Amino acid sequence: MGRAQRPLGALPRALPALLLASIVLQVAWGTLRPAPQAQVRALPAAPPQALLEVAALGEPGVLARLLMLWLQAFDDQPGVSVPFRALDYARVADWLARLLELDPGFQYPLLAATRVYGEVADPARQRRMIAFVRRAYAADPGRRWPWLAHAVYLARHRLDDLELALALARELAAAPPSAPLPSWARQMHIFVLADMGELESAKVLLGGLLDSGEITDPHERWFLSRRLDELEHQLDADTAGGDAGAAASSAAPSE
Amino acid sequence: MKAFASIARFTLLEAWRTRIWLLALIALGALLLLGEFAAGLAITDSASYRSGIYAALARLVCVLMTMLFVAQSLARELAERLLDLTLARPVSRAQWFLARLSGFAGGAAVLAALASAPLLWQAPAPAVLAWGISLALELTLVAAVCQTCTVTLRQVTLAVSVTSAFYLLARAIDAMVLMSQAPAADPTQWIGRVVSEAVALIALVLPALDRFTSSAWLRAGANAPELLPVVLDSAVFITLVIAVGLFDLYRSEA
Repeated sequence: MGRAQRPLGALPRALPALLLASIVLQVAWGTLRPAPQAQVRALPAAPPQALLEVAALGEPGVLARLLMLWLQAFDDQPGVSVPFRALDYARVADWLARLLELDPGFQYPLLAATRVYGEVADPARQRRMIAFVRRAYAADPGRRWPWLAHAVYLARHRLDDLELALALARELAAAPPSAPLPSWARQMHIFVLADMGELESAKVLLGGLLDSGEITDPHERWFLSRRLDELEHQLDADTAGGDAGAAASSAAPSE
Repeated sequence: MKAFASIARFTLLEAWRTRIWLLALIALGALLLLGEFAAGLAITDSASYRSGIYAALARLVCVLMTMLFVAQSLARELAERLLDLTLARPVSRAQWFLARLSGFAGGAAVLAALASAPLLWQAPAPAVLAWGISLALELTLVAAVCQTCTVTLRQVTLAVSVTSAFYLLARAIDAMVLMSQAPAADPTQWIGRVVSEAVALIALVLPALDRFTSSAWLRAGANAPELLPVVLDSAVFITLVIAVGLFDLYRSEA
């Protein structure tokens, strides 16, 4: 700090030796000291909401974001990677719910539920994440519908649970008119029904949607009309196949 | 020896007269209430909320108070040329430095005892004793670093900033070592290797403060804490800090 300094020769002779010896001792102790051990820590239970509100010091959004990063990094603990399968998903869901309560406009926990934790190859854990998204959607359909749409995809293509996919898609379709859902999201149940082989129901719903006048975009009308035509052709083919089969079976006994 | 004892005693007397103990009592009382508040909110495991929140925050508050007291006390002594007056008497710089540190260590022990006392009602006595001893050593270590920084830098702000940075780094260094060696760190990247080696090198000259004064020791059913590594870590590092502080003190023209 610009202070005058005495020459090294003016120092007590023992002092440089003490400094050197203490550095050697510290390095030796640092080498001999037991190395840090990587320990897999279980995800702690989410604290009560009120406690988080206090800890946020008036910045719940910031705390939610910091905790989200911490939670997201929990599978990569210092020195060890924890597979998602090893995480307690009940606690993960609790944490995500707390973060949403801290900042209801925060979309990250829902994205993490569907695209990070929901991608685990474990149906029970995937179902838990879908249930979380479903509850969150019910509280705020207007903002959270994209994540329920993701949940439909998870149920349909990851879990192969068409019943669940249909139930989720129907919740999307039943969103209040004030919720700004695009029509494709409201129509998801039609396509799930088609996937389930419920062609007649899908056709009725699609035809009703087109007749209702809700679809105003010409490209969307064209796309849906084409889809309706495909469904009708498929139904006709199924009916023709069914009639031929019935005729064949009725003819067989007379031979 | 008489001068040594006098300087150490006056350091403790200064802590008494500046009423830092009153501030400590108020802060610890507030933290006790905060722990109770958290325990009241918890649906289950309320005991661990009570002791955990109090212990973790009391540790931080004690460290902060120690840093501020040491830096403010020494900076005042240096600014008012009181050190020159002391050294004009038959007192060596080493005696002054060690006596001041002994005084701060005494204050640290009192502060650790004050912080530990409420825990006796919340956790087993042996665990509380170990926690208290570890806290006293940690505070002494922080006081030694802060004393060396203040004597070298001569400014409260700088000394507290550097000591805080040291403290945070020492609390995180074990985790940093593990992260730098994690499978996610690519060993084929030269920058990854450099960072990993640098972190390991820094860890050699720092105490592993994350192994000190853990609130987990106070939980029911916790393993008995190992105090010997904590004592050795403190002794070796405090010796190093004293050597650095004395080296700088003897080189400066007071």
